Amino acid sequence: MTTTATRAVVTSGAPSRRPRGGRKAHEGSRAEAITGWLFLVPFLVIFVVFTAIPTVLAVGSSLTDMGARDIRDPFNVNFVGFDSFAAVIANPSFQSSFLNTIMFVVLCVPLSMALGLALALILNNGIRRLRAFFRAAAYVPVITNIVAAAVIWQYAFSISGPVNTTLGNLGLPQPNWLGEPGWAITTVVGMGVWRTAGTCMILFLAGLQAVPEEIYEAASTDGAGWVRRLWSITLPLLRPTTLLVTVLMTVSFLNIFEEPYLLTKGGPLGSTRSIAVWVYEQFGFGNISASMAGSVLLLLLVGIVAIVQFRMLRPKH
Amino acid sequence: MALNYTALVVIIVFMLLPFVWVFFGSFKTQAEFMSNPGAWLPEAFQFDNYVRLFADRGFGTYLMNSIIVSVVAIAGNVMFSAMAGYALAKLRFRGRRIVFPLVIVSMIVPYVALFVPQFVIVVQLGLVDTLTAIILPMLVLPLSVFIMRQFAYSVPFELMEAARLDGAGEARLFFRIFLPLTGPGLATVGILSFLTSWNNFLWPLVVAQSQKTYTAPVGLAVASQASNTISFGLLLAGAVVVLLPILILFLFLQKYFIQGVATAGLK
Amino acid sequence: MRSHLTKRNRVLLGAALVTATAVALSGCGRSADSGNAAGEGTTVDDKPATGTVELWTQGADGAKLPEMFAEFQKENPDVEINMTEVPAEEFSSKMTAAITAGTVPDLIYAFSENQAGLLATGGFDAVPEGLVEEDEFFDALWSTSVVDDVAYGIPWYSYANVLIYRSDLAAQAGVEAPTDWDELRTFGEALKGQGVEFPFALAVNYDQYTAWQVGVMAAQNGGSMISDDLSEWTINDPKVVEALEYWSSLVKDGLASPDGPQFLDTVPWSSQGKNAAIVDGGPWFASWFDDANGEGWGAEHLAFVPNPVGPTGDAASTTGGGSWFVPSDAENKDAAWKFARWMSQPEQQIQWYEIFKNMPALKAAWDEPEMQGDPLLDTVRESLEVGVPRPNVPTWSQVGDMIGQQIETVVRGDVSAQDALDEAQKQAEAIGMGTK
Repeated sequence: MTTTATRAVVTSGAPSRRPRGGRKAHEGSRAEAITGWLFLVPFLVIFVVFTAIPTVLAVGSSLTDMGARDIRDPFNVNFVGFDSFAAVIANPSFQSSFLNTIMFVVLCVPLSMALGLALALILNNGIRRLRAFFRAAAYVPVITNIVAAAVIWQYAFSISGPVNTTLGNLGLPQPNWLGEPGWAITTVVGMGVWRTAGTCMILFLAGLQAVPEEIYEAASTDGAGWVRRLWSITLPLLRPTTLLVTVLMTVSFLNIFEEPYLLTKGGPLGSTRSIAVWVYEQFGFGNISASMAGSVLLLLLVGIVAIVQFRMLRPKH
Repeated sequence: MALNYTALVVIIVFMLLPFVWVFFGSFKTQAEFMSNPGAWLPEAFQFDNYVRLFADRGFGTYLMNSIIVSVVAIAGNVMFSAMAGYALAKLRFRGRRIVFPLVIVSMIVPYVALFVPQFVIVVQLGLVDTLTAIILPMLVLPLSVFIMRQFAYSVPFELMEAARLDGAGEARLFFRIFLPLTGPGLATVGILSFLTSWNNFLWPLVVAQSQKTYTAPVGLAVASQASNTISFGLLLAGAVVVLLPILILFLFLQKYFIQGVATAGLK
Repeated sequence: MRSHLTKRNRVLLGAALVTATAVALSGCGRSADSGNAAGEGTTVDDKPATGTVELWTQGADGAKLPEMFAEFQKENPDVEINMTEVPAEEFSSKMTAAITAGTVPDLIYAFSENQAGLLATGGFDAVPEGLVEEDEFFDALWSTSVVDDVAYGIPWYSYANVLIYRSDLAAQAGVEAPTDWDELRTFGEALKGQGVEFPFALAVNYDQYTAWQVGVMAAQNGGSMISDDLSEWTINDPKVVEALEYWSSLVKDGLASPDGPQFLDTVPWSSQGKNAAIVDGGPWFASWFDDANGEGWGAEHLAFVPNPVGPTGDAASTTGGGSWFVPSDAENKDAAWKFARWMSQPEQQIQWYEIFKNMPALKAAWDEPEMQGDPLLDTVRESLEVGVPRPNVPTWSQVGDMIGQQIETVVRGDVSAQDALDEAQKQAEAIGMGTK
């Protein structure tokens, strides 16, 4: 849920505009305060019940030695402090999943953004007809049901699947897409990029709306070439968007789960096991405290990266 | 221009190839998948998979549940996130600064850590096996609040100041002045909450205790089970059926969606 | 993370939960053994079942089970069975949530390889005294649901893996069905000579199933990956090392592919003659060949024999199946056990075979006329007798996946079988047995 949401989206560190002047007249009136809290009630209730309490419980169990046998009686466990954290950090498979996650971020974020940007640029002012069609077409992977998408990819890239059959007909080599570490990483990255490029495209399209047409026209009459216009006008103007998309995609791929879990189960040789996959595996194995400790570490990692990037995004006054 | 079209078509074709395969595959028999996994086209266009999906596997019920869940989720997100976003961006009161970090945190908690405690809570609330329980955690997504907060900042304060000076009450300010200006923001929230609720899988599965409460993605996973393998034809037919509503919605709302994204995130 | 809040033990929500966690964290500690409450000596009578039974299924069986409910209701008119089909992949996640919250169904079934993990939750009742007789079932199936000498599951159906081979290709190559490891190798070499690219299809997903294929070969060689009393791992035992050396030599000598068949390749590869034999293959493959190539294809092209024996002359086969379990918090345990018992009668065992082709777990059912005269059935039955259960400890799936990865390093890298299994042993010892 979280991943889909974060992914599909728009988050941002959009600079909040503090009103200047005329604001002090009624600052903090009682009616405003009452309205404010009343308006926040629905969100706060849902937040407390479905996020805050479960999170506290999750963090709590990461400090115990809880295992599968304890689920019927979860308070009958030993408090072990940060032992689970120490064990998780020292665990070689967790360490390699950490490195894999970083690898996915490094590979997927730029690829997805480049593809999204290319699509956005062409759609924004490269073509006149069929814009709506192409835009929707590029967004289809984002909105596809993940259960179906995973089976499609798994089937398409199986050894005798349609991809290899086509390659074979063309006389090209037929790799073992899901079974050989290098190719498996490639396939998982491919699926990750495929599923997120549409989101990047939407964000860049939105960003491009803020770029006035006149600037292009002026540049064209100056005889500036396509490449130069891109480098010296479009990209600088898109800087806030680019930074935003970077944060968004980084957070999203730090949490990468569905692609490696559904396609390769984290294999072969653990080469595609991300932190989120590791956490889910441990949960499945009944190592609940380890799984929760891993979740907390992942949360911290995402949080730190997000904070750092949000800071970088903040406009400098 | 021609080059642009060519580039676009090439990229889009690659992105859509899986769907071409899904579409054709939804007309294949299981034997075709077994004997010749590499084929693109079906031997014959037969609608058996679609018929079985609805007639034998009760997909109609699942679709109806999904529609109910999504409609309520969209309504809830649109309404409540507009309220929350407005409160966070446009109203001044003590304590509001602690709320926004909560929004951010709830966006990044790994879901695997949450679903069991969430389920225990749902059971305690007596909501097990209800659509209500499926909807509740998605009723005001933090993401929606985030977007509407960003969006609310784009509504000029001057407008509200003027209304306030005219003696407008808080409710009037929200409904008459603020809401009408937030169309694209609401479209964005609507699409994203539809996407989340429509495709959600693990949570509806955990909450449902009987198939009458299954949503379409859960029903799809169940319907496509076959002995030691997957019933591919049913799965692909189901994938087509599940994709259509959201695709249609996107086609109609995409203009507002992009505008909403632009206003919310990128000012 | 989970708070145990059953109907018996309702605790305040909200802030109270948070406080409780804090209290629990400061004051908690394991009290006396509380899990795995073994059967309280309950018995189930012979009166008809009554009330409603909530049943959760996984896999495709669910679609066909209602046919059996109708039969059951003829004898038990006052019983209602509500079935919910759950996707197999997420079954254990859903079950974990259900056990934690105390809202469980009355009856489930679980596959052999998942039983130890499920039972580790301590959320299931022991099979009531005298409900069924242990000796009437195949040992490899019965034993997967036993924890500390207490049985929790009633076996429902079974399978045993066999050597499935292309009889036509073998005839062309002039070879007979192999009976031991040496013959298996010669068999493969002869077929390779006839142009079969990879004579053998092995389990090359490098997960717990790969690990167990090697485990079964170890058994054919008189060894085991786990000690008899399940108290320690013996993965680098010389017998196991020899088994892995043999298994990996089939790949290294080009008699099997390290890459496949996977997923859906099995049927096409063997149909096209890219493979000529599925080693330790599931009996369900047989019907897939007919599905893909037309009715009767299998009868003309396929033959089935038990797995070849190893150097020590031991026969062994991968077995598995499904068993019925009743959660401890279930509301209608009586009717649930009655249905499970009824399903394990010879008549129902046969009926289910005819409906779904799942083979009986009850030995006596195999003597029924319906089970005679089919070469596949004869071979499976023979193999069931020498079935080896997977290591019956909760950590097996984790250890098995890890061993699978080590096996991959042997096949793809230059790691020796000894080194890989030494490493696997080391990691397995760190993971432990998962029992108290």
